[in-house]
Amino acid sequence: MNKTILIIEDEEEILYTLRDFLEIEGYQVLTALNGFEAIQLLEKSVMPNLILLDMKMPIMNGWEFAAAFLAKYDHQCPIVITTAAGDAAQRAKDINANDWISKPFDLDTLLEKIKQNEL
Amino acid sequence: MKLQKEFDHLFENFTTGVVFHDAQSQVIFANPEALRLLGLTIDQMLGKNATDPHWRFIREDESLMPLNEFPVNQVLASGKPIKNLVIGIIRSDLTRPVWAMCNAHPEFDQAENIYQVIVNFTDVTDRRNATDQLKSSLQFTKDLIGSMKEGFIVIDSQWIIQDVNPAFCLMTGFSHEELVGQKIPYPYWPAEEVDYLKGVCDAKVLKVRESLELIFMRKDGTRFPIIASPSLVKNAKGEIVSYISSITDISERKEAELKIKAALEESKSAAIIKSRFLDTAAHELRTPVSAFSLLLQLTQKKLEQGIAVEMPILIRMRKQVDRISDLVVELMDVSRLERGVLNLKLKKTDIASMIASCLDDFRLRAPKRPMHFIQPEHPIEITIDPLRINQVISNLIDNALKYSFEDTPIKVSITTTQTHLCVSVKDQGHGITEEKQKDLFAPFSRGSDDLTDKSGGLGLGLFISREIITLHGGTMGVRSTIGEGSTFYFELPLDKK
Repeated sequence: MNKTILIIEDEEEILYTLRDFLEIEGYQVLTALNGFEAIQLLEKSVMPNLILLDMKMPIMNGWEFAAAFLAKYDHQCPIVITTAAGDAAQRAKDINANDWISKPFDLDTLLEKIKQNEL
Repeated sequence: MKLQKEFDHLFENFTTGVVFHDAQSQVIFANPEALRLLGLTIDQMLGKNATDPHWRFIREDESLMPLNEFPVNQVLASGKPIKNLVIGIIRSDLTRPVWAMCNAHPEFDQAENIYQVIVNFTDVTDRRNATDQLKSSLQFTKDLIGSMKEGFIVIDSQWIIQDVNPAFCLMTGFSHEELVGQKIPYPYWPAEEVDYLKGVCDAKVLKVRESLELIFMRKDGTRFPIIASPSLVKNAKGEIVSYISSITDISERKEAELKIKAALEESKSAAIIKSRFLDTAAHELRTPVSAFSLLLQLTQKKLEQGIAVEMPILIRMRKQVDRISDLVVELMDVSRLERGVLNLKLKKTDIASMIASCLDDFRLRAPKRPMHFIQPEHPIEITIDPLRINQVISNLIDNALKYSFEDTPIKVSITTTQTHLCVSVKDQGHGITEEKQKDLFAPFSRGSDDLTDKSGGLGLGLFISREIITLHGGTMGVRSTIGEGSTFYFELPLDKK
């Protein structure tokens, strides 16, 4: 059974490129353009093996999503944040995420991070 | 005889000149000090009278003294003594007069007739010279203060104005008469500063050479800042007799300071705007660059794994490169505008068909959006830079599409007057508040700058557009109503026939 990754990212082009790549790598991929879409998606789908979370997004940002997710599902699924901020590690700690990856990143680094953290 | 000898000895050593005259005013005795003062020998004096033309006396004011004013003649005429008369003695051997304080009194015989007059002289030349010097130095000081550009004021210990110089009068608009005798703080002291002045005095802050920055009031009620540098004048007992202060009008300096401050603030805020703009520019560029990079990596992965690379992925890459190149063009335009080196390539152009073809491009990109334009029957020829005006029209249509609802129409129209043509682009979007309308055309601003604004761009489009229109000698503006939509328009002068 293929592992499932949920990508939450508001830049459509980045979102779909990541999706295409992870699909080639054999993952099943769920996508959401913001935290709110992701929460709705999780209601009706299986718990993914990893969530890739962008921070700055409209409607519901990364901070809000992490708070809502952890309140409802606790640490049922590891969260890796993607951020352009200088202090990515602090950001990850702030929202209780498992790991982080600094933007811009390349696909190999991303894959490595996913393999390290996925359930 | 012994007594006569002692008298002679006394007179000889007197530091006062003594001359005895008989009733005919002839000299019958003169002691050595008198001879010294008058510069004559005893032979030259004895037997001469005061009407002798060798005598030349001057009055205290240096005018020639007439014979009847000579001490001996006055005493002989009036029979009364004279006291402390200052006389100048003109001597042929000296260039400057010798000054003497003179006393004279008559001696009467038993028949009460004057039989002699005794005149004594005390040398006061040194004292007189010192007084002259003091007077001339006082006059010098007065002239100096009078000619100074700085104001000058003298106040006594009761705070009554004793004197002011012309510069002070000029500065305040009050005359010398209006000021002298007035009690400080009035009349040139603004009411709101009185407490401050009292505080200063009570606290005895008014020390020598301590400058105070104060506000003075002119006669016309206007105010101006000054610097006062007061000094205290004390008497021998150490009591304050008066305050002397120079007053410098510092309005010009204050104005210059304010200008410098404002310029500094402006450059600071300009620097902040620039740095924020650079941040935005970097952010805007990063997204398409990183999307493009990811797409390239994905293509590489596919090729490595023998997966077919389809057309859509190339189109997606092209789209990201276009985004990057649009941003770069925008940045270059702004840079050229700021340096004033954006040159127009003018050409006679039919602006109506230009608008029509511009709209056709947009219809291809957004086929679902209704776009209306009634093209005039005849071409409207005007001399413009066609690429730049096309850029403006595209910018306005693009904005209208971005900032209005998906199914609402865009209406483009063109009207002409005798001298101008007007192109307007109307949308049915949210509308723009009046406050934000002001900032719309400023560089580096965007109508909405929160994160939900996914329109992208640097917020430079309208700034560039308006600059282009201005370069064409035209104007650009906006009319907007909240909830109804906005109309952006520009006017260009028609070619002269």
